[in-house]
Amino acid sequence: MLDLVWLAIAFPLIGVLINGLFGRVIRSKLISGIIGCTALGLSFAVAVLTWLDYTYQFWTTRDGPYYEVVLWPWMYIGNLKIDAGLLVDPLSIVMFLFVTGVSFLIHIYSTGYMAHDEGYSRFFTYLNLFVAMMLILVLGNNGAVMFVGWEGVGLCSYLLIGFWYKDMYNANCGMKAFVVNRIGDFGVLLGLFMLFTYFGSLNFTTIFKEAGSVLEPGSWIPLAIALFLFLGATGKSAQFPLHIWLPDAMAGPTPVSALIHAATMVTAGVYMVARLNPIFNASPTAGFVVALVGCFTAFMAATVAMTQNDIKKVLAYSTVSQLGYMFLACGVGAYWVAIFHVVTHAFFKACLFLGSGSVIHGMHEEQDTRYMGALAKFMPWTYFTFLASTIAIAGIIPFAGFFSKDEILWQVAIWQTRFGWAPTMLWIVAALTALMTAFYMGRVTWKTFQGQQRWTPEFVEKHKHPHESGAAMVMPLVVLSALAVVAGFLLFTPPWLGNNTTLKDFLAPSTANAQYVKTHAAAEPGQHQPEHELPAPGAEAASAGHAGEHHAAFISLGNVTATEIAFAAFSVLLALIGLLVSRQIFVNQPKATEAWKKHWAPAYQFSLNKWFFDELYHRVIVVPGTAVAYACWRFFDLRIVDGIVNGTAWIVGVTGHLVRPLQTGFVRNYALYLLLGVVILLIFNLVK
Amino acid sequence: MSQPVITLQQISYLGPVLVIVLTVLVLLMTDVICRLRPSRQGLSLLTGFGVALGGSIVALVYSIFLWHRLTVLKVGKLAELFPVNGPPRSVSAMETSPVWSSGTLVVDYFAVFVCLLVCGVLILVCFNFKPYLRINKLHRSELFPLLLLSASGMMLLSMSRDLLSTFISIEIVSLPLYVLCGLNERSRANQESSLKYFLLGAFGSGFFIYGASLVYGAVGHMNYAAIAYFAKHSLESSSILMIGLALVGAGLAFKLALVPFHAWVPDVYQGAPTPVTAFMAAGVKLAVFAAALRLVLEAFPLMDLSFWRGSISLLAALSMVVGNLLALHQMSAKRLLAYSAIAHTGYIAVGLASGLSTSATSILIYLVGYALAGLGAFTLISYLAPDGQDDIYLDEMHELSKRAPVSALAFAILMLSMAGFPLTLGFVGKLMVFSDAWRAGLYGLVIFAVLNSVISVYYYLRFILAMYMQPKAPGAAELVLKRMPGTYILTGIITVVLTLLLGVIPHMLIAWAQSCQLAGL
Repeated sequence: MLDLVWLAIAFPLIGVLINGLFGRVIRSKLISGIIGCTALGLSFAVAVLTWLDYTYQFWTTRDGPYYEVVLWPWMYIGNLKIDAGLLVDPLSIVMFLFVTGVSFLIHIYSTGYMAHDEGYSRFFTYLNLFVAMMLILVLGNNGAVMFVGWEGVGLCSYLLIGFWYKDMYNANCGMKAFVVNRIGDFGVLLGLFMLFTYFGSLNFTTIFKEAGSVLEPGSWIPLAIALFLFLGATGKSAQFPLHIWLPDAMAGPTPVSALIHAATMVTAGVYMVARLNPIFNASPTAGFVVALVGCFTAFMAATVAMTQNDIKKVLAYSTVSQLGYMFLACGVGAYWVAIFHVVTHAFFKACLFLGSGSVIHGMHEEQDTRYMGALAKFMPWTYFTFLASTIAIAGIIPFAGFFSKDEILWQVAIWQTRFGWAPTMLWIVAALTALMTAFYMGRVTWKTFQGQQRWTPEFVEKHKHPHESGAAMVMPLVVLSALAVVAGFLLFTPPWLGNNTTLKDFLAPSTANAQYVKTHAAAEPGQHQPEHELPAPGAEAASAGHAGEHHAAFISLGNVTATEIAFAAFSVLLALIGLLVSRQIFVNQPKATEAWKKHWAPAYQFSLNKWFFDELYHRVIVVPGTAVAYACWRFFDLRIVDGIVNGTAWIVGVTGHLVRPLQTGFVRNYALYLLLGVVILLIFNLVK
Repeated sequence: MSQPVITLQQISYLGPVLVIVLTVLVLLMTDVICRLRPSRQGLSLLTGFGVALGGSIVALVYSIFLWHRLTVLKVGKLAELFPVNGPPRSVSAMETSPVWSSGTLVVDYFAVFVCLLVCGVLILVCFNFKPYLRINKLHRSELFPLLLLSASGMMLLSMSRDLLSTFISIEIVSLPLYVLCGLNERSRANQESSLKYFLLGAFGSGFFIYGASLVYGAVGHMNYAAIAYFAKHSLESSSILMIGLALVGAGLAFKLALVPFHAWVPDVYQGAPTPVTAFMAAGVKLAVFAAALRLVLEAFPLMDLSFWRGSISLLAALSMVVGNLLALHQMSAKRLLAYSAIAHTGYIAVGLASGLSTSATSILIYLVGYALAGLGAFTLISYLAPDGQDDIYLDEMHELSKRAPVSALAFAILMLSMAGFPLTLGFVGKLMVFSDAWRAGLYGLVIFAVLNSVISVYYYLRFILAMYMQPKAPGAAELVLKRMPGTYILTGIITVVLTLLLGVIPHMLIAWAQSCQLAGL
């Protein structure tokens, strides 16, 4: 089965071909939808079979964690050998499973959500293409194949954000997403170039094997590679300072927001960091930067989410914030925790987005929570699934979010680093963010589903009241919310609560590469790390040779169990406070908020306007950039001033008598440029 | 002197060029015969097309045969024609025995590969011209001989190893093009384009020949091997040689349109008939880069590194940034692609600056990708262009994805290839060229180039934005979509399929191109 893993990519591509080429011929939404969903169902089946087969092979043979499938030689240039190949290992299997699973559910949901849309088959074409690209990203066995998927998902995201183009707004949002992402891609490309320079290969397995010998820990080389790659990750995963595109990306259809901009594509950055963790392990400074950026983003986005009124905007900033948590986990070296949070987040955030889609559907395209309220009665399924996911993201035991988020906080607390103040500070900020998360998620839930009806008169007049969505939309909600409830304790529980380490053990070969390589070198087979108290950075510290420099972590590891329980209790307490306070405010005393808005006006405006990042970028980058481009254009290319007027003016301009003297002048000018060039060349060559 | 100057077998190795030249003669005769009666004008076009296409295909097959011969004989080159030898006059040093010998023309893997590509380009351009002439009501059957003549120059250019033969080949390429640009005597844009190209082209050629004469003065030969030999053995560095080479470089840079020698490109590309523009973008760029590669890799490598690497890097950086910045605002598709052509020249020049022995491979791959994307894009432009405009504006392309979904998809794919998107040939080319430069240690230049390719995505996406995501602009004219002529369809399919296929499975192409290594560093 492992050799047939490419089928998972082939099925959606077949879907793309059928829906893309014959979508117009088919004309039947039912058939288009069935094709789209079947492709994903088969893909998911492949994922499950691969997983089962892999566990079987791995447990029986123990040849090593990596299984490579080389499909065909892609580019062999001198000593650069790049295969079109796939890599099956625990990390890719986890991503593989949840990407296909969540995509499958969202495809089913889309058949209901997009039922009245004219671009139905086009939508499924893009969606299937996206999944194929995402699978190429997570399954690729080398940097170049990963980059193919990386760019491909970006393109699909761009196409889907601009899917509804009644005006220029959506198209511009898509453009923004793509351009910001390209800045990140620049980093990825340079990171890959550097990897190739130092490893002579882009193959992940080669990099893992040789990371210990090639990269001198703590030197600038792994730092530069890691920072370049992380630049790419900030673009794709919407981290500060490239986070600005994600909230705008919500202009696309809601299933797209759920699938691409919450559950799968935006986690690609986390995946890449986890995938190339030996590089990040070799550079403690890079890890520190990752943690810092992640933590700051988590905090910043949470403050913004607290005041947004658009239900999708709240969820968008919440996504940015949660992605920040994931990077925080990566930064402290707890890669498996980051992936754990990726998975649980995929479940509850997809559920929240789909729930918001259901609300928007039921409210007939109303997205503003100020005009909602009291929907629980009319949309019970949506309400209960939404509520379950809210509790999950807030982090109340035993919902999924509790286990992953609490583990992140714990890993931060026990992080051993050169930067002595960092664990304390990051932990405090992260805990504060957890409180805010519970608050804003409570706020949006209560404002939408509880309290008074604040529906617009037009809405009431037209539709009387909202309606619950159909089965195709409700069923995925139920499945996802069930997963949001149980996924946490099924995959992992801390030692004081059953010590279930399923996911951790499964991921260990991929995400604890430092140990893996080290133990191979030291010929210590079959290492298991049952001690919860010894995370990956310990190994990093040892290999980095900075053991002496490490200050004590935030807490001493004396009485671990008691401390852990205390920490967990504290974070549950924060979540409860957040949820209850928001309920008190937005259900019982909605009037009070107005007074506070006035009282805290500067802070409120700062948050409402998203820290003015858009304005800042506009002033600092867009305006000067446009000015330079415009100046160049005026200077070199005077002629085309009228292209806007349909081009006809150009012909008039050329034939017009007024312009003709200018035209002869041009040849002279051009000759002058030529001469200038020659002079430059001569000076350049003679003055050395 | 009993030995013949050139043997029959050696002539046979010039086959592709000779076939093309013979075809030109046949074309001229058939044209005369067909024009005996004015009523047969349509027939003259058809025969012209048929003969030109036939000749190109024969030349293509001949090139394949030569390639086969090279692999069978397991030799690096088939022939060196018109050899010159002996130490350069000016090297007064100890050695007097002839230690180098080199042909003025050489038929090796590199030359045959370029000949193959030129034939391919030629065939697609012929395809383009047939409906173009009919639609624009042009009865100019002389264009086919001119086109082929220019192509024969391109083939010679790839074989030239001598400044003089390079110069003559460049002129053989250029002169017919000056005429072709002004193909339509009723179109002012055509006339203007032709005149500008001619005037500035003459200027550029002047620099080249003056530089060549200075080189001759310094070295005593014009052969690349001689220049390399001189650079290695000459004790004193000659500033006359440096000036000469700088001027030769300026002449080539003009033909390549590197900034600041680029100024003619937007006007000429936009004004010329679209198939001619396609020919210039795909063919001329290919041939002149072949010449530049020979010069840089065969004559320069022993020379002071900072000399040529510095100048080429400078021009490359300028071309990328100016081309990209100016393309951002264009509304005319042809003009936008003209500026993007300048930027592409810059990217390729990055590969030239690396000067490794693998550079020829990478640059050829890049050029194949660019030629395919360019030919396809210009074909679609001439299909979509409204009558009498011979160009299309971005705001006229709105909602094209609904009205002409297949054309829109094809155009989008070709633009993605130009932008260097993975799974297209454009990506493979960019990756190879940039990784060459990275290996050569030009880190700053590569970072700059990658940054520029990030900027360039913006304007390629503007096409996709216009076709897929923008409602019809209020005042924009409605595009009248005609039935697509068969040869356009064929060109479109060939270019798009090859772009994707070679992007996904470029292995064979790379393996072929790897035979084409020139000396280099």
